[in-house]
Amino acid sequence: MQFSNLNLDYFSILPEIITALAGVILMLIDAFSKKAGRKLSPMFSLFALVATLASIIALWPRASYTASFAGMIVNDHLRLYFALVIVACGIIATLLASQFLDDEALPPGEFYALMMFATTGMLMMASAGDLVMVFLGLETSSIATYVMAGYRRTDLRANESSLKYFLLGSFSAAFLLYGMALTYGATGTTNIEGIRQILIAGKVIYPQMLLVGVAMMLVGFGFKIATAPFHLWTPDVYEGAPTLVTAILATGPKVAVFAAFLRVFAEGLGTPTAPAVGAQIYDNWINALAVMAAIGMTFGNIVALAQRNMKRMLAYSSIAHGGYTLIGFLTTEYAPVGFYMLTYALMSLGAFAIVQMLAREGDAKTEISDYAGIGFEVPNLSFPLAIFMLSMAGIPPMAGFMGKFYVFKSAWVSSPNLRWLVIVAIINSIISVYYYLYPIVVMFFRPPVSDFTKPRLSPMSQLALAITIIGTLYFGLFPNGALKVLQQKTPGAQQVAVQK
Amino acid sequence: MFELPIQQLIFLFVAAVAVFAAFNVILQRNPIYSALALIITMCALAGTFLMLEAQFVATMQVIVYAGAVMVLFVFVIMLLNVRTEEARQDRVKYLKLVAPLLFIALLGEVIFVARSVTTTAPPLATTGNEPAFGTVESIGEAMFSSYLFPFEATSVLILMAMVGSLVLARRRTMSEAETLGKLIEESGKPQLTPAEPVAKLEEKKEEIAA
Amino acid sequence: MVPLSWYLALSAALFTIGVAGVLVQRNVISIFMCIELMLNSVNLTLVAFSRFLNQSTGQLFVFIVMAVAAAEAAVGLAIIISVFRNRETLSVDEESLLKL
Repeated sequence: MQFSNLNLDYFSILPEIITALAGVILMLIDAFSKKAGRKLSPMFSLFALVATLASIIALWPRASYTASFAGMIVNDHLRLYFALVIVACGIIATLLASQFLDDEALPPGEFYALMMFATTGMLMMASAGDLVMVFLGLETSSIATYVMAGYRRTDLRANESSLKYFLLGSFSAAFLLYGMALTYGATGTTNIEGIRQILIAGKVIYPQMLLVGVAMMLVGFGFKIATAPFHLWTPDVYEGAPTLVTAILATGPKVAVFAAFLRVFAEGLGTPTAPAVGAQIYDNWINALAVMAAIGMTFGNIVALAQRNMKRMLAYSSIAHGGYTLIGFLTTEYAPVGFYMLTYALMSLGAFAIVQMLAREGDAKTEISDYAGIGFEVPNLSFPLAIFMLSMAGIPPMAGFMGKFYVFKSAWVSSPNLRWLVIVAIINSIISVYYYLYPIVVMFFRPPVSDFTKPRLSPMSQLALAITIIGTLYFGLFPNGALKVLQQKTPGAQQVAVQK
Repeated sequence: MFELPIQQLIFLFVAAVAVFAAFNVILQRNPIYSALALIITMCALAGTFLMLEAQFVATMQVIVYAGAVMVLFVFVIMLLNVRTEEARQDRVKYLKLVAPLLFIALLGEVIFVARSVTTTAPPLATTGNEPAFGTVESIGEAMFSSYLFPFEATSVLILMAMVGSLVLARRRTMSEAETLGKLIEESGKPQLTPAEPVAKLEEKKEEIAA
Repeated sequence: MVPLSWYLALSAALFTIGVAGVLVQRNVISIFMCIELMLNSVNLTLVAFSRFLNQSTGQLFVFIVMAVAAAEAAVGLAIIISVFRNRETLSVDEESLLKL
């Protein structure tokens, strides 16, 4: 075995190294000074995340398809872009976390450490060039989030939500793993680029087994991105977990799973022109995903109409947003998915942040009726919430509109087979306006509740809110910058042009 | 002369043990019996690994899985003193109907997969000074070359699992005890009282530790 | 020699039994054990392919799966303990939140 063949490019894993090390250092800070840790830990994790961001930007000029670490790490534009979004989610969540931990009097050290390790797992998912890395990254981020969901240990609901998340998460991971094992057997490799080459060359050993394997992987990924019909865990877990953790669950891991999903399906199995089973598999997964997208949107939106709890409503809305993202996915380009995930992450983090601030200690007030008449009492919270709701509904000039518009346009242009799906999606967006407007109506036009007191807002939470608001408006008004970044093609792309 | 298909017979025996024990895992009402049945399944699987020339994996299966992981399970079952759950009727009904259907569907898949593959194992490559297949040597060499990054990443995973389980399972802090007390007072009923036996066990553990 | 299909069939059968177990069991720890059974059956598939393809990748994958399963077991059991401390039963029927 020649070590020179492995291409041990340590620079290419710098983001992962920084976050993992930061996690260890955060635990040491906590071990040596509990008192100072409360102030120091958030500062340090922010510092580490910004350093990670810098390292990702520094890696940008080196983007290429040459995999390092024996094919385990791919440093192309897909990886860098999604890593950027993941770390941005991490920064906003960290800013919000300090107030959450202070208000609830929870031990801070481990929370930040877990967040760092979760981010490491998500970054590994984005950079995975091999199925084993996808699995490992997924489990690393999942296990960290299981613990975070149960972080408020005295709260039975949070415990149970953590348990449910854990059971269904590992159940789906087993499906994903079985799919990977069958794919490995059918193609003889676990390397994603290798699988692609074998499909194109038509050298699949056991074609039927590959079909079963791909179906299993689809189930596994479907669970993780919480799209119908694999969404069952979402509303309960999102409702039961502490709101800040819900915000993290709904954004970072989802972005990362979409990155890995794109890598495995759009890159590894995106072979419409391959002989025999290659093309058949491509058709099969495209059709399956189209159906999943349609069910996801429709189901999410219709059930959301009936919700009276803010967190549950946002959970169903996130199922619907998963459906919209899948439409972008069907173009097998990463740009629509990436841009939609960016806008979704910003508005979702913002909305959950406000829900958390209004909910108070122990998430006591999360019913929409609790928001009655607070519109002009706390304008610094109600107006941003209105912005996020309008953005999610897809009303211009918010980012949510741009995201939807870009996804629908790409799908419409790329393939006539997807046009029915775009029409379904547009009808769905119109339905969704109703339930997004409902909290706004309650906030501004209902008589105020008597026992309302203004929630405390720490400077860090204010900063986080400002970032999400500015982001939501910026990407709604000036999306071109982000889109230009997204449309960069990695040099030396072996991507066979998708012709349909 | 007629030769006994000894390998096939061994496989069939091991497979029968594994499947029988697996059924026991899912049908036993008492979790401790399930755990013991699962240990038997794992040992039977270690047997099939040996037949596939994966000696090192078989060893690890027994030591790590059947040993360490299952001991953890048995320990927690004992610690929590989980009662045998009686058959209850209030379990969501449709799952009872879904389970056999799913079972049949997946069994169909078993046959489907099995029919699509009919090869027997190729002879092992025995060229030159490559270490033999499945030994510690060959695994180790691959582990620290092509699997270097996943191997290192696993250390992050395990460290995080340690931190995570400590966070969740450690003793209550003072502030948490106060929160609980407040909650109990407010609700007027002791819905959140800690499990007595668990609390006592913990005290004992601390005594031993001290 | 034992054909590859036999190993795959055994593995698929065990996976199926595990899935059925997750649905019919009502004790959280038993459900978790069924998930472990599923992971184990996948390991058999990986080892079998590794032997029949004559490459050690499959066996290495198994080690990663073992590490993940151990980590999952530690965290999962800790979650179960913390639920049990706040509520003295592990039946998934009792709380609406946990109903599947």
